[in-house]
Amino acid sequence: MKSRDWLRSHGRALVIVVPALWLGIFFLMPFLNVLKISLAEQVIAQPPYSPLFYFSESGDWHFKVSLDNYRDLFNDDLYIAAFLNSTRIAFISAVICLLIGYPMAYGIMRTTPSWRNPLLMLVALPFWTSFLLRVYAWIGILNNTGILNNALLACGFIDRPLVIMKTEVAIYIGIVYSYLPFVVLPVYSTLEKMDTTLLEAAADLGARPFAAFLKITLPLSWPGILAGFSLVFIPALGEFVIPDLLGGSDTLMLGHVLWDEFFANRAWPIASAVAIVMLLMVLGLLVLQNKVNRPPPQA
Amino acid sequence: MNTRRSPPMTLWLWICFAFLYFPILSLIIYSFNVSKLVTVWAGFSTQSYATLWKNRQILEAALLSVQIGLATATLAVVFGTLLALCLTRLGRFRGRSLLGGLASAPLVMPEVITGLSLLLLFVSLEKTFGWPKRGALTIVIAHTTFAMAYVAVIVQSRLSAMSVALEEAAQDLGAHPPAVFFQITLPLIAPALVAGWLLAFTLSLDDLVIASFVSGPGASTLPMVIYSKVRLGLSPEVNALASLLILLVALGVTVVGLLLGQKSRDHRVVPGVEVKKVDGRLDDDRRPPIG
Amino acid sequence: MIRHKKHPALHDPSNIPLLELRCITRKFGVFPAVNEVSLNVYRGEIFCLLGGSGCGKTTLLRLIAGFEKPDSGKILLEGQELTGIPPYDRPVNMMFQSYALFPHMTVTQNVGFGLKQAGLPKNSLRTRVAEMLALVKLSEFGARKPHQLSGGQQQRVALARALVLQPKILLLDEPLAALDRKLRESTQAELKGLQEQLGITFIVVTHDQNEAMSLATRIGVMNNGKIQQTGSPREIYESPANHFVANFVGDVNLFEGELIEWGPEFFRFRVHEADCIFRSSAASELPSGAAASLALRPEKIAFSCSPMPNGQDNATSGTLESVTYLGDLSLLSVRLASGRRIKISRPNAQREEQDLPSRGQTLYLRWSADSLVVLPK
Repeated sequence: MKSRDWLRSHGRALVIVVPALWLGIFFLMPFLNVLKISLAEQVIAQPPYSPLFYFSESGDWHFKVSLDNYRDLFNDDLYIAAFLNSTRIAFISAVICLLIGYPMAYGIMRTTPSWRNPLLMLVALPFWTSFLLRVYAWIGILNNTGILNNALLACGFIDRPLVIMKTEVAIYIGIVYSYLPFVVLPVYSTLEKMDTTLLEAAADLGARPFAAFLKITLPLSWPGILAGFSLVFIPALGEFVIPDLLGGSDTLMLGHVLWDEFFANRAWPIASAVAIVMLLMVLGLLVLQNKVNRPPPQA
Repeated sequence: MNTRRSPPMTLWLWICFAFLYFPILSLIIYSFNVSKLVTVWAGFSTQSYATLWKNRQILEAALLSVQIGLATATLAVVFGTLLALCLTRLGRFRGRSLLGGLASAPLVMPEVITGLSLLLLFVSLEKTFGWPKRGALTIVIAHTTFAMAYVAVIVQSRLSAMSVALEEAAQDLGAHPPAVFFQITLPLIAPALVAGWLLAFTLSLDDLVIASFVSGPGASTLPMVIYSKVRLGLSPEVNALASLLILLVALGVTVVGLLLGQKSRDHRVVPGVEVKKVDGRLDDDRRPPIG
Repeated sequence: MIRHKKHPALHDPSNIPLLELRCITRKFGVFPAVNEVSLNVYRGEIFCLLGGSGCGKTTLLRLIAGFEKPDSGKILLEGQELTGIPPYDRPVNMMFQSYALFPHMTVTQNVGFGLKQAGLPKNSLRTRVAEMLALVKLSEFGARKPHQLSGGQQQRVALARALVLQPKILLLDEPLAALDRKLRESTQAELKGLQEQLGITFIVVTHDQNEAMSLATRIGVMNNGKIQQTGSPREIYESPANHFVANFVGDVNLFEGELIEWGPEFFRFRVHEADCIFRSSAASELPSGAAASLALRPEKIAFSCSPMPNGQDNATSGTLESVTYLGDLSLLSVRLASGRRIKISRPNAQREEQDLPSRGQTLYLRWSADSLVVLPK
């Protein structure tokens, strides 16, 4: 009985401690570490940053925090441009995704029930194939000598190839293409949960279909819209592969800046500061989403 | 009213699915191109597959990626399931909401941040403890950390769809908590574990950014090799590789879909019984065990 | 007060309770779902916990099963403390409202689950399961999965699964709620028969008073986490202990009155809203002028169309407002001069309508002193 009791109480603790410890060490601690490094100074050493605590030669404790990296971030045009670019591109991409994805989810919901699941599966399927290769496919399509231009030239719509590759348009296409499922699925799931008798009630009370959509369906699918938006906006904010492969060198985005600072310039403290600022933006968005999504208090 | 199909809606669906599938299709078609120029069609050939087969670098990277994926998926399923159990079945404990936050954070974290922070941690750890050496091991750790969050989400949704009464009934009939887990909970969440494993494997196989950060010299995963090739421009070998991967995924998804579809039909969580509503509310004063 | 015959178990001093709850409290947050409940259940009883949504009856059942731990108080089974023992070590079993049949196991595996946990050898396990399935008339269905059974069959599997362990007490959470009405009635009888045959003590949670009345040897009426009254179905109905019980079980007309006179065997109350004196044959001791509630069941009121002399006790008159035909009964609503409405029921002994008075007619009402129940304020 005693050993069983021990196992019972500690078995429960074990189930909690194992994943908690893993996440603590490999998820929480890294961010604290990044925060620490972002407050350090760049030095030429291995690793290339100054310690926050150290013993001076006289044996005293020293504690040194520097906000220089953050000051640099907000004073350097390069970083500011990267922040603005990233936010703009992520925002516009998310909106385009919604404009395409919402009607798509709505359309799927309105097909015959036996079609819904196969169609949803078709939406999710590309997600299971390599992201990198799907982005790569667009190079072949959008290139000056690519499939799109070849087709358009052959049909005689244009007489010179359209320059899409290495522009912002290519980035939008890449992001929208890659993240479209992330809008369709949450929107669909809120639409599906919606009580269809609400629409019948609206129709019964004299609302035409479009009015019913605007007044009933759209407000009720707001949580799905918001979830879809942040599921595109957040990863797009730090996107590296798509702007790197499809975008031009003039469109700097945060992910790229962070990558370059870290790998090319070995500027760990400033890269960490970029990461922290991005993190704050993400957290802010999540808190906002949480607030909006909280169901109204039940009467 | 709710299943009326309008022509514009159908057309829109066709356009969207064409948008989703055209690039994938183009990859496959042009993998059979004779021309090295990839996008200019010059005739049918399987040349690029032969070249791919001889490319040792790609094959080795693929092997490494699969190994990392297997390790990651297995670890992620174990940790993710534990995490899901913590969050759905263990009631209140200190730090529960923190753990809940930590569990969902990897889902939304931009990859560059996860990659950078993990690398910096590994550097610090290596400097202090001499461990872990950067390479396949650190990639597995990093992948497990974010993949377990996905697994936890899938398992959690399965667990919350499964009535707690089943586990209580097993306990009531004399089963100790481990017996309840292995005889009742595990068989019933098995489909979610399979799905979670596959998802974790795919995520690991697919990841470029985090692996690039935390990998060390000599450990190049498949996406890293593809990326270095793609940066230099289009390559028929990559098309061939992509076609093979797509074929594999399509096969896998079909098989698993059929398997799970069949399973879920005779493993409905509450078998055909609906708890009748009493006075418009479910049950009387029963509350969820957490709360 | 009118005393009815009590359940024999209660009066036999040698009969120690099988289950004893001592001042059990269980709070969810600050809200006490079960509030200082003390209760004895005796061997061989079918004890019904009756109450509305959120009254705490299911929580009480889960406390006995061990799924909830009491914040304070004790649970004793045959005099042994049960409080700290986990559900899997308690000699009580539960039948869940949703049945909680394991969907991935066959009927045989479901019924054998508990015996397997107990480490019973395969042979005797098989015999016990087969016997049990025969008892609930499911012998041919052993190889089926739960979802291949009808609702009634699933209910019997759940019952068999819990009974096969021969628990000291079987806890049933709304055992019949998921069945349709016709099936519910036949299953009620089966359940009762099974209980007598096996001699296992049942504690049944239900919100349905008819179910409680027809199943129970004793009923405990719960409200707001407290047991309001325990007693036989007749006691609960005919001698409700308070307002809540009178109102919850069956229909009732409640009047506010004040005591004006009493003597041996009689108590007279002035009731302004009925404009008459209520005379009761029993009441607990009250000071003169004390206010009391007087409960009068609708079927206990007699009426006639011919006038009666004024000023009699337990008699008044009013206008018939409506007649609701319910098949076996008709419900009459009579409006008194004060505006107060009184419900009266009467069996429809005739097929024809003419024996009922028509709307707008003046009705003269009377009732006996025995039929009044005086409730403390």
